[in-house]
Amino acid sequence: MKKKLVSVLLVAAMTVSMLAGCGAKSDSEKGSSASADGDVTITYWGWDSNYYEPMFAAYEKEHPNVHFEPTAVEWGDMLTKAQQALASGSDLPVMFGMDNTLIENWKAMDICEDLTKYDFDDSKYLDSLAEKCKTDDGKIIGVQESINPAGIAYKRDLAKEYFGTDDPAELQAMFASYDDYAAKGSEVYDKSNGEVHLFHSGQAVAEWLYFASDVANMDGDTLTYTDKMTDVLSKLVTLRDANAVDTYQSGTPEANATYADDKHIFYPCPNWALTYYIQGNDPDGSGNWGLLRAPVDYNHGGAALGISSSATDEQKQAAYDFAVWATAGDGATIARDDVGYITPYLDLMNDPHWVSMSEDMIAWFGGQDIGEVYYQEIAPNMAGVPSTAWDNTIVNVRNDLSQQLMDDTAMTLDAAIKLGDDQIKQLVTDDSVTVK
Amino acid sequence: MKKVKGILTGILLTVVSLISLVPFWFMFSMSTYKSEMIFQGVPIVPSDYFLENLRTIFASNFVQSYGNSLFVSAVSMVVTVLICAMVGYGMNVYNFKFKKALSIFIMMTMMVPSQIGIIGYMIEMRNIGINQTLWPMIFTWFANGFGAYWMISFIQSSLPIELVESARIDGASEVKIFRSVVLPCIKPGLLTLCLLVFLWSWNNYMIPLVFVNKQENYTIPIFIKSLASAYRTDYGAQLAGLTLATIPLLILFIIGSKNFIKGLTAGAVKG
Repeated sequence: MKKKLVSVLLVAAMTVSMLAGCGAKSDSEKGSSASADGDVTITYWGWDSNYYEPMFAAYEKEHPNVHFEPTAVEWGDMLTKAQQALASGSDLPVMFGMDNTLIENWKAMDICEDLTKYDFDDSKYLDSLAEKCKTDDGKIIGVQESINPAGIAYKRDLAKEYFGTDDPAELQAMFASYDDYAAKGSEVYDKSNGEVHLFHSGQAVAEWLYFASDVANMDGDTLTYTDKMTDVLSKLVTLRDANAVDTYQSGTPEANATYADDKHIFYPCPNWALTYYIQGNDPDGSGNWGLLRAPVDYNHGGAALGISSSATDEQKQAAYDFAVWATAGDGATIARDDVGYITPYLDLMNDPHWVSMSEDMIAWFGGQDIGEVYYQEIAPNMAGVPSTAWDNTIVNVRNDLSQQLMDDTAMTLDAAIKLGDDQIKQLVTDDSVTVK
Repeated sequence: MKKVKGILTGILLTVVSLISLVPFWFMFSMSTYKSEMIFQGVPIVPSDYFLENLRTIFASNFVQSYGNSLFVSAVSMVVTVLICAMVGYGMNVYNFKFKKALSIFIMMTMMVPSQIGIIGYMIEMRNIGINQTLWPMIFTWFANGFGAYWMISFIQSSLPIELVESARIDGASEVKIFRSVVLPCIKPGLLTLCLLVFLWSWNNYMIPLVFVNKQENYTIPIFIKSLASAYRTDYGAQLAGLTLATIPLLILFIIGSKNFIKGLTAGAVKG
């Protein structure tokens, strides 16, 4: 009997202690994010710790009453997590990152605070990016973090070896069109006995060509899949057939390791890739990089900061203040210096003195003023097409097809387009959308 | 002839074992390299950077994620196995109304993908008020259709009902019979289920993905996913994290391997 009693007491004690350790917050705690002394906690979901960590740290330093609680969520999981939280009525974060590829899907969820309530003036931001955050009924659902002009980065030592020069101007003249890349790619491949390619990955090349394409993804209710994919993949097939592209799958550790090797020369390079890919993957490469303009100047990716309409007024105001600080205030300078992001806020973006790159980054690129290339040469001419709710679907099909084209060199453009057509028709479930 | 057959079998098994084990070896070996060195050759021989990679990992909230995963998986395993064993016992030893219907219902729960119920589960957890805790990641295993079915089948094939009846005649209570007679008889089945539930819980990604909204509640799969953004290109550190993440599973399997195999093959030959 005594033994039984001891067992019961032990079990009860364990249960209580476990429940205490993992207990839910009381209601008062839940609502304590904005307390009487003005303390505000901003919960945040995002994937780009490269950006949000220094920004949050700097803002907390300047505003001791504001605290951030970031949760790192994989890029590909962001929307799923938000959709499930919304469907179940669970808490959404006060602030979140919204990738431009998915921004129409974020709009459709209708969870973002309309920033026009805060007198947010989006005319002070780069029009083509600000437009992405606007809904059909005039609401503004976010603030764009950065402009993302993209060029083609190259390794100077390999350029010298295979093209006889590492001078950006001379190389720019040599690589003025996609056909130039194909012709030179073939030469380099032959000269190196099949060891060296211009590019490391068909997926990376297709991503570049996708963002540089001026074919819109939608025409009214018609998803212009064939036109878009033909525009992108035809160039990839030309480059592939000239042996200008290697077969690595973009973003994998093996592919990233090629940044430091001596077998791949060019990398499509938006401004965010400077720290994210180049410095990260080639830590000893300072001085060995250069930057060219692509045959078509383009904007690659980008993200906006959104604020949840379900947050408290104090939280929403604090999050809005942060978003403005990060893009039009002191935070824009921190984003420029620490992360290499340039705000789309026109007063700063158009100031040639303000947009200059850090000394370190200029040194990394062998003294080339890449700030001038990105922000004065590329940015004013960037191609861009309107975002649609099906962008991510097209991107997924594009990734799949580009890898298949690289893995099976006998695959023709027509075969790839047909394959993708079957895929996309299964993925587009909205009856009001016609796939063409 | 027999000897040749034996040698050939040995060679075949060695090849198959190597194919299975080489990726694990590479994972460990790569975790001992500095990231930039990993892809400069084939990293078969371990290097000397393991401690540095571990230091990087421990500087993040890896320990807490590890602790969370251990807690979640251990509690899930103990409670789920206990519940399933009780279900197995009840379904085999007692006769009651709708027993067959209940048995079919248990089978049916296995046919419904868990993702379908995830939103309902989130609503349930929110209404109980524990959606910001580790409990949703634990409770999700308790009503486990496969576990219940497994224990029903296992008890059916390995527990002589006469033992239960003898114990009853000797005056043992049902709890005592379950604890002292039934559980020792079904040990291989229990350990197999323990291993499976621990493994499912340890590797579970979907439930933590939707419930975890703060770093303190990270479990290992979520942490490993976030490693890519935390360390970006530090593959050595990422692999060190992965290596550490496989250790509990290895230990559990080594401890229970004998019973695990017994459990899997139990009832295969009925004598």
